[in-house]
Order: sequence, then C-alpha cells, then structure tokens
Amino acid sequence: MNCTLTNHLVNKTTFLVGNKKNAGKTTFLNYALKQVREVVSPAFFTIGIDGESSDLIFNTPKPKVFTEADDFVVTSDLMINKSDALFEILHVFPYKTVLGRLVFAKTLRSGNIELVGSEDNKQLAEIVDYLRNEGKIKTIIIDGAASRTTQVASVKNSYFYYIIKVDQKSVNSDIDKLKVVALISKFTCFKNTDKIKSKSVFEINGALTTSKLALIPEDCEILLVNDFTKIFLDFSQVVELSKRIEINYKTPCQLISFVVILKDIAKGEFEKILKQNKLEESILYNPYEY
Amino acid sequence: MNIKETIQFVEFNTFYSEYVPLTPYGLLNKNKYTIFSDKEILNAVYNSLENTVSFIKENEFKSAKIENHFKRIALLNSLERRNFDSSDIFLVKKLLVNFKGIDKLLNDTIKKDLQINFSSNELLDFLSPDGENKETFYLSSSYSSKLSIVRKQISEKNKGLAEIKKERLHQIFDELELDFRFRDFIVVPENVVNSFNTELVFKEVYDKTSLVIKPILPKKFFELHKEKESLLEEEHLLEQNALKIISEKIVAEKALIKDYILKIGILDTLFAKARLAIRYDMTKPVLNENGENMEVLNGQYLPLANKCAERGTVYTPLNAKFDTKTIVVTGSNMGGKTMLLKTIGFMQVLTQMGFWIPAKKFKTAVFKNISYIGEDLSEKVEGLSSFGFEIYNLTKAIKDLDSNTLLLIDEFAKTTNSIEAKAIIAAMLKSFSQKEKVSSFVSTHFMELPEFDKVSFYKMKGLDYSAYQKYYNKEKQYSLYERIGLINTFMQYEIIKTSSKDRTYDAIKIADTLGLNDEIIRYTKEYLSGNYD
Repeated sequence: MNCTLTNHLVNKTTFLVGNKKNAGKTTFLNYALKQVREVVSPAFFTIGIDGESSDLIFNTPKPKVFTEADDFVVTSDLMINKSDALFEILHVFPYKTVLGRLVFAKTLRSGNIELVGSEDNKQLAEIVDYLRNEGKIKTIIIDGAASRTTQVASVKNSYFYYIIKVDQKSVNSDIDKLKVVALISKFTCFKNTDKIKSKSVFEINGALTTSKLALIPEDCEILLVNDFTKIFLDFSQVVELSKRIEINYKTPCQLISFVVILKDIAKGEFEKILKQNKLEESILYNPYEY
Repeated sequence: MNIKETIQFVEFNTFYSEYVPLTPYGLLNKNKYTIFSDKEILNAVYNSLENTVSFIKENEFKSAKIENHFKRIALLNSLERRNFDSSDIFLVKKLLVNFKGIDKLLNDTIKKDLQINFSSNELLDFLSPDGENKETFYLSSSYSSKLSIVRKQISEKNKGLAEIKKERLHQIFDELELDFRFRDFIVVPENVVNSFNTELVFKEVYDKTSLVIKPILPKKFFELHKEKESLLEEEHLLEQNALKIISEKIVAEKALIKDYILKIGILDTLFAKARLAIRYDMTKPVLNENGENMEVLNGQYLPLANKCAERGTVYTPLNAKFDTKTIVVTGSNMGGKTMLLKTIGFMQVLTQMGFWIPAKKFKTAVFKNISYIGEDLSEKVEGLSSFGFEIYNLTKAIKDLDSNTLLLIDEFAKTTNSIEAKAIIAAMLKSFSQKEKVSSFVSTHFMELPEFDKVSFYKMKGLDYSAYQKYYNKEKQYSLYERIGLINTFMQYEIIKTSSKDRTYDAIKIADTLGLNDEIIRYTKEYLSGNYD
C-alpha cells in the first residue's frame, strides 16, 4: 500500500489533471481508489465526457472504473442503469448531459461503472458542495479533463495531482509544461487583502495572457492573479515576469505532486533532464512500474 | 399583457431578485412573471398570502422545517411515460417524502385554502420496501423473491471470483514477486520479463524497453465469470419487471402527483412572498373596480428606499390620494416626478403579481394593460429618434383602451419643440380623461396646460430654497457630488395638489446649486421678468 498517496488523498478533494489526452488519469484514479478504500469510502466522479476513448498503456478502450461496495459515485442515470454494480440513488442533480441526468449514488454491490460528469465549472463546484455538505463525504477524487486546469480553481480548498505523460517524441514540450506548472504552482496566495487597492498591487482580471503583459504598470510590485489556472504564459515569459514582479494568487490551489508516466524514455535519462532543468519537484513515477 | 417596458422602467428586478422560491417548481412560477388581471384571483392570492404570513409569524420553527423540505425537492423527469428507471423513482419518492413532511407541518387553514392533502402513503410505503421512508431509493430485492435469489447467487459468484483472483495473485507474488493487489497491470523492463513463468502472466509491448504484465487468471475464474454474466442478465430482466410494477403504481397516481407538484409550486411561492411581506412590513392591496381614487399611504419604492438605506440618505415615502384618473405631475428637475411614476408602477406590478405592498395602504384597480411610455428602453427600433420611439410606444399602448389600462408617461416629447409637444400632451390628456377605463400618470415640465374635466394637476413640492440658502456657503468650492447631496437634502419629495396655472421655476435654483455661473443665472432671471435686453 502506498501510504503517502493515501495520506494525501484522504479527507481532501483532489483533482487528477493531465497534460494531454490519455495521460493516464483514469488508470491513476483506479490505483488511487484501491489505496484510499483501505482507509475510507471515497466519492469519485469525472468532468465531462472528454473524448478519451483509449488508454495510453494499451491503446485499447478507455480503462473502466471499478466501484466497490460503500463507494460514492457521481455519474449519469444511464450509466447507473448500464452498470453491473448495484447502487442506491442518493440524489439526482438538476444537470443534464447527453448521457442523462447526473446522479449521486452509493455502491451497494461492486462492479464496473462508466463515469460521466459535468463540464461546467459552476455545476462542478455545486456537486462538490453537495457531496461535502449533504453527503458528509470528506474524500473526493475527481478525474479531471485533459489539458484543462480551470476546474481545479472552481472548487475551494481542493488539491491536485498533475499527471504528465512524457514521451520520447514530445519530451521537450512535456518538460516545458512541467517547468511552467512547477513554477506557477509555487506562487503564494495574497494575504494582505486590505492592500488590494493599493498602487503597488495590480490585479489581472481573467486570464494572464501575452497580450495582457503590456497592461502591467511599471511601478507595480505585486501582480494579483485569481489562481494558477489563469496563467497562460510560456516558461520564459513567467520567469521574466517573476524576476521583476511578485506574482500572487487570490484563490489557493495546491499541487500535491507530479505523476510522471514515461514512455520510450528511461527513468535515469528523465532524471538527468530534470537535473539539467534544475527541477527538484515532488514526483511520483508511474505507480504501475515494476 | 406585455409589461416588459414597465418592469424595466420601475427596476422591478432589483426587488424580484429578493423573491426566492426554494423548489424548482416555485422557481418555474417565478420565471413566468405572471401578471394576474382578474380581481377575484388576486384577492384569493392575497388571502392565501395572509394565511401564510400568519402561519410564519406564529410558527417560525415549523416554517423553517417546511422551507427545508422545499429545498430538498428536485425537479421530476416527465411523468408522461409508462416506464420509470431508478432515478425517476427516486425523484418521485423524494417528492412524496417531502410533501408528506410539509403536509404534516401545515395548519388546517392553509391546507383547506390550498386543498392540500397527502394521500399517497400506500405508494410511499411501496417505494420503501425496507420499511423506512428515507429519501433515497434502490431497487431492493424485496420487490421480487426471484430477484433476491439471483442477487444472492451473484454475491456468491463475486465471492468465488475474488477468492480465485486472490489465490492467483498470491501465487504470482510468491513465484515472481509481482504485487498485483493494487494494480491491474505492471510495466516491467524487458530483460526482467524473460525469466517470468508465462503460465502465470500475460505480456504485451509497452514501449521500446518495457512490457506490460497482467496476471493470467485460471480457467475456473472465467467459468465462474460466465455464470455470473448469465445471472446478471437474469437480474436485469427481473429488475425490469420490478421497475415495471413500480412504474404502474406511479402511473396510477400520476394525477395526484401532478397535483402535489402544483401545490408545492403555489405553496413555495406563497412562502417566498410571505417572507418578503414580513421583511418589508407589507400590506394587502385594496382593489377597487376601475381605478378611481387611487391612494398610497406611506408607499415605499423599494429599489430606491433600499439604495437610500445603503447610502445612509433619507428616503421619503409616497403619500397621495388622486381624485381623478388622469393625473398630471409637474415639478422641479430632480424633484422626484419620475420616482413618483416609478413608485406607482412598482406598486401596481407588485399588486398584479400577487405580492403585498410596502405601504400602509395602496388602493388601486386591476388593469388589463400597464404601459410605460418614455425614454431609455432597450427595444429600440432602428431609424427612430427619441420622439419617434415615444410615439411608437404610445401608439402601441393605446391600441386597446376599452379594457382597464394604466399609462405611465414620463416627460413625453421633451426632445421635440415645446409648442407642438405641449399641444400633443394636452390632446392626450383630453383623450385619456374621456376614456372610462384609462388611468394615466403624465409627468411633464410643460406649464400652463389647458384645464380639462377629470384631469388633476399635482406637483412635487420641490427645493426648500430658503432652507438651502441658509446652509449654502457661496465661498466654499463644492464638488459635484456635494452639490447633488445638497439638492437631495433640501428637496422635498412630497406631492401636492396644484392647478394647471401653477408656475415652478426650480430649474434656475437647481442650476445655481449645481454651480452654473452668475452671469447666465442673472440673464435668465432678467429674461423671465421681461427685462431682458
């Protein structure tokens, strides 16, 4: 049993975010669920129907999620009806997807279940609120949509794993992405809210993009961004900006760890690349590795 | 009735956003913006509201419990079907559980008034085969003895499958030191894999250097799995049968369930309206036949009153008794003419939506049409000037004056030449005053309009200039906001009866207060007194 992983997930709301489609989020979810069930009954669900039809490991249909008795799931009513597991319906959300209305259910008998969720960040936050307040559930794991991190910021007090598939063919861009996330996830939360209107603090509304860099006043000392998911700059731009200005967030989102899935690249070789790029991040290597 | 413009003019939505039904059915009612134009229906609504207000005042905890039940009710999927699935049934059960709870908490007065009577105990018990009236639902084995047997068999197969798998994983761990307890597969370097017993694990390529290893389960696992699969199929058929029986029971009570939904929607909106009635100390409107003698006592235009309260400024409620149905309102700029029209419009919309009124008294009629004619509305027609737009709206509003109609006309034709504008306003007054079913409020700056029978003139009291002059310090450099504040402080937002001959010259005083230079003020006064060279 991976105690560190379990400790990180229990009593928290955790998103599994991937750097690309088929990064291995659902495979990681299955692994994480098996660990967490040793301690508590988790609730889990997914975001939208992201079109990930196959799994990176086998290039076969998307991995199924297995639910055990006493788990809590959110999926559509159609998927509940289709499953070989047995469920007690606890709530029906007023949100419709192409695959039916979203349902919150408790597993009475184990089986496979296909997950369908909402793509709308507001609905997502409402679902988590319902699970936490009405369902009294403390451990929630959310299989996030690929390449979209904004969902993480929509839920207060949430954490995330960044699952990054590093392929020999795309190693440079994968490392760049890792570097950006590693850097921006370190910026702290703005504490002195009284000073938001002070001249030294400049707040960016919405996304921080290349075109908005020109708006930042020369004399400003702190740049306030809502959360890390609003930064849409490449690594060099973030480095350049953070040299002249302190970047703070209004809403905290905490990165627990990177989960690196290597393909056609040896672990030793990858570690060398990390060293070259001075990356000393907390990394969990593919838990399915020997 | 299309009162979109009036709703915009009176900024009704700032109040409407405080009206918060708690069920999806109450919200659907809210979003319809229903305007009642039947006096009897409205009186029935006011009476129901009175019962609800009394109930809440006397039963605060019970009311909170009822509102908690409201919050738990979800929108049902369509009842117009013959087959329901588990989530449909869950929704019906949840509705029944909560409606039953509401029924228990309500007093007889409300139940009798709204004809509320929960009589679906049998169905609810059927949906709770394990004896508890919980909100949750699952297709229990109690619905069919066969289903119970099949499910037991499936559980046994599952146990058997788990044991076989556990045994095989132990064997693999003992022989190959591969731990599959938390993993469905393991990625292993190719050089390591070569030594593995291929009867225990299955290999396939992962990348250039590694293979994916999965456990091979024994034949008996697949045999058992096959048996489970056929049991699952049987279970599915039995579940469909059970769902069919439950669906038939629900269909048989469809009419009752629809009635509960209707009652929930009504009751929820009544509670939401009653909460507002209590918060704002509202009273029941008094409805007369045709709009004669409209009367407002201590009437609050809430969108403004709330703003004033937020800003810490004084709000003057409206007190007025109108003796005819055609009312002309004159007065200073910034003197409150438009606010008077907004107050009347706001209260009339409240009245006809079945709310009570934030006033000690509001006596009015029920109108079939309520129209606002003035500027700043969104539905602009391309190519029309402001004046053209007003004429367009007026034409629309007076199409049918044979039914009870309320016209709120704010500073009509102020953008066209004053001679013709005044003539059109005079013509409107003459026309409206002759129509038995038309009530109109016309605010205007034009003075000395002709007198007509059944037309009354009122004016806003205006600036208390002598008090203002005592306070005003000529030497001080006031900012614009300070000047506006001064005007608000010394403006008397009261309405007084006047005549068509009354002349009000507050515009010069206002201009002076806002800082217009002395020379222009002096020339203006000279011009008015006839000494202008």
